Amino acid sequence: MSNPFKKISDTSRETAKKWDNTRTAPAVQTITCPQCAAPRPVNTNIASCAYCGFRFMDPSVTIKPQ
Amino acid sequence: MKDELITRWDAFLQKMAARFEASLLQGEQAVLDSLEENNYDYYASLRTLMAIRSQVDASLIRKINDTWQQQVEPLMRADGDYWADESFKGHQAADDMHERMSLWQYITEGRLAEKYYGHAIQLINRDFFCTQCNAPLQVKKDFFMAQYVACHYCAAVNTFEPETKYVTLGWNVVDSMSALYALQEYGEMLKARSLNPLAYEQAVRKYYEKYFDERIKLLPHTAHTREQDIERKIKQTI
Repeated sequence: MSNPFKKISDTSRETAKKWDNTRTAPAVQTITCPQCAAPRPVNTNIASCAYCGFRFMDPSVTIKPQ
Repeated sequence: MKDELITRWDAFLQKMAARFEASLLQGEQAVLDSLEENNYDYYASLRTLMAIRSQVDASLIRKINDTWQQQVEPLMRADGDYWADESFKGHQAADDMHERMSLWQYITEGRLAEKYYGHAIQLINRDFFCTQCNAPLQVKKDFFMAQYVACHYCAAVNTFEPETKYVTLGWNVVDSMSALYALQEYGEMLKARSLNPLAYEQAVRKYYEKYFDERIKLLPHTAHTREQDIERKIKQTI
């Protein structure tokens, strides 16, 4: 005899929201410097490139209160 | 007439109790089976669980009260003054089912989480390599978030992003599993509700200690907040 709750699980599956930002496979990537293409070495500042000194961001930027 | 009505009412309650127990067994099976059917969509299976709970509540538990009010009570009231005792039987049966249902949900959520964990934990059982020098990377296996992984050979920092099904483990899944493994303490905590406040507080503490100890086995990086987590939960519960 089939499970009387099968219809409920079928409905849950059919009506499940399809998220468009789900990741279906793991990924490994490295962010590289746009100027010299070097990756960031371990234990270095994330604000600038350790090789050529290119500034990725300006850490002096302050966030204005609302 | 009195004996006949009571016998029929008792038979009805027994039939509902038997259907209720059978429904819980079938409901748990349907929830666990749904994981394979929906390609391990944890939240779809969780919705299945809640929908089954709702259906059992509507078709069985509420039916006891409806049957009493619409059919049994009018007949008994017309027949004598014994209806109050019989009314209590119906309310007692419905209350017992509500408690049993809450426990069923607690256990089924845990078993669903266990099954999902068994599948999703294997998703990163493979080798990952540095994008710069192709050397093998040491990815932390029990950290269900994106992580920086430094290459031991070229020192480049790689960003490892696990798939969504793996990340899901770090949310409700480990919580429901920890709760399942603390089931005994949970039962003792429920029993202690009717005892004195001190005994209840001790039972709550015991439950959350067990719960967080089990959770730390699954999420080792949460060990350093163990004491704060326990105190916060106790405060929320009492």
